[in-house]
Amino acid sequence: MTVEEYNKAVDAYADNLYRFVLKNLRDDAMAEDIIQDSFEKLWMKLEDVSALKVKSYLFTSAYHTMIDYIRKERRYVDMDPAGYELSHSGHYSDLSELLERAIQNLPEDQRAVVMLRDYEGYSYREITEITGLTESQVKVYIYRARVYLKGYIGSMEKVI
Amino acid sequence: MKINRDNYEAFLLDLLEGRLSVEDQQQLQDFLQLNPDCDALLPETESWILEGSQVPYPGREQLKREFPAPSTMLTDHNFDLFSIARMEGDLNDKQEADHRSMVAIDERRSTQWIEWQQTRLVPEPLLFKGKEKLKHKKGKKNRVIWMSAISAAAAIALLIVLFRMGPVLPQQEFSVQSPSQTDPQQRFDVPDQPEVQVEKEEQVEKEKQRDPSTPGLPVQKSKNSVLFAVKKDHDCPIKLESKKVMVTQDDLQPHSVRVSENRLNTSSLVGEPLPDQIKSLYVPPVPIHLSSLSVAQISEMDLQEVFEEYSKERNFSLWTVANAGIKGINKIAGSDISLLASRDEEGEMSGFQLKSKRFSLTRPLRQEE
Repeated sequence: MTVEEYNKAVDAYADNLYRFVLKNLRDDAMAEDIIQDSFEKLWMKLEDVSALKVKSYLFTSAYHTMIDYIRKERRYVDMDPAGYELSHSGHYSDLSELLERAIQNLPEDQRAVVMLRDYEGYSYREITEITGLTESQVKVYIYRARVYLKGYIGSMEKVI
Repeated sequence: MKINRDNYEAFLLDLLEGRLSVEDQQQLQDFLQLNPDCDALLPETESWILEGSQVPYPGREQLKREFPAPSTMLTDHNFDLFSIARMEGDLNDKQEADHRSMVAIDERRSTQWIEWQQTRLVPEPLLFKGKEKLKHKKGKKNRVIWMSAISAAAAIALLIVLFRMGPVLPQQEFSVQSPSQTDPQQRFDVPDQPEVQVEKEEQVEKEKQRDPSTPGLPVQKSKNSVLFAVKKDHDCPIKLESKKVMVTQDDLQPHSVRVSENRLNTSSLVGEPLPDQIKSLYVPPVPIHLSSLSVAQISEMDLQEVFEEYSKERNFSLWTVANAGIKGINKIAGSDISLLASRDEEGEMSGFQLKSKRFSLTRPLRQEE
């Protein structure tokens, strides 16, 4: 990978990577640190990383750094499908806001997998490469996340 | 295996598919009694335990951990599974056609399909502000490595030179300053900043006016002159009130330094005219092969930005090499290290100092020898 390709990768993937990390962490400063760290790792491995694999490399690096950080900070939020939060007293302006709230209740594995799937359009195989999960696990996580999101949206709509 | 909330679904699947032993069935039943929310979707627990796999479980498809196989047919029970699979693009043409048909003819299914589609996250535009900072210039990586190596070499050379030269320079000069022989009010100023030099030149003029009694004292003035003043009030055989000697910048270069042969002989120094002693400021002729090598490297590496002011000089002094190295380090590391000549309360040079916001390393000069 050349320096020119590296700089193109910055233009092409920095925003997506930032969104992915920020939506997972909800910590702007930490998200920026992880992005810089990911690109720094890419720069150090510039000669070893193919231009075709650079996006996967960046997301893999960011994902693992992010998961390590989350687990270190004990930010795990247990998802209880039967325990939807029904006491929301605020007002959701639109579906995206509702979905934004719902996805934050997902366990980090499910949340990251769904984001990689929906935001970046990764295939199951690509997600397995990034996350280190098996394809079966990825499918299960996506399935469970969809079920939870649908149930959350339905319950909120009833409340509202 | 003990049943818990994480694995009870597997036991349910085994039960519904007839693979659960009687013992495990009893264990599962006990578990469900303790966790009633887990069997909310199950019909009449007693009956299916007794009848084993003969009792169908309506939520079976939802408990499975796989998407529909290519041969799986769409039913009312697996509609949600098919909906997710359709969203994920996992259905074959026939399965997708079946799902479309069901959605088209059934309003309730149509509503459910819309709800499933709502679970797809829509990427929103989010810009990373620090993008430009992530970019690198061509060749910068190699240049940084070379700059780091050169600067590190220069810094090491600086430390070696300072630590070796430090005791030597004052030791021989200040050997005439032992309390029994000289007045401690001697000054030794290393040439550095031009503005300071101008000020010192003015001092020289003032001193000349104040000390007309020393007409024989040789005083040199030049553009890069430095004041090297020694005040003598002790009972030295040669009585001098106050003496000023100007040493040019060139005198500080190793190639132009005159080394006094009797520098180490204190007694002879005391016995000889003081001006001769003072005039020949001693700087040891330290080899500068490393600095010459650095100059060559600097030219190759296009480091004029860092070493511009130093590369114009024809001859490199130790201070030049030292300051070039320090500047290179500062450039790379963003540090603020500076090289200073530390002085005591009387203004006398007492050592060298590497100083920054984070640390300060001082090498004192030994004056007692």
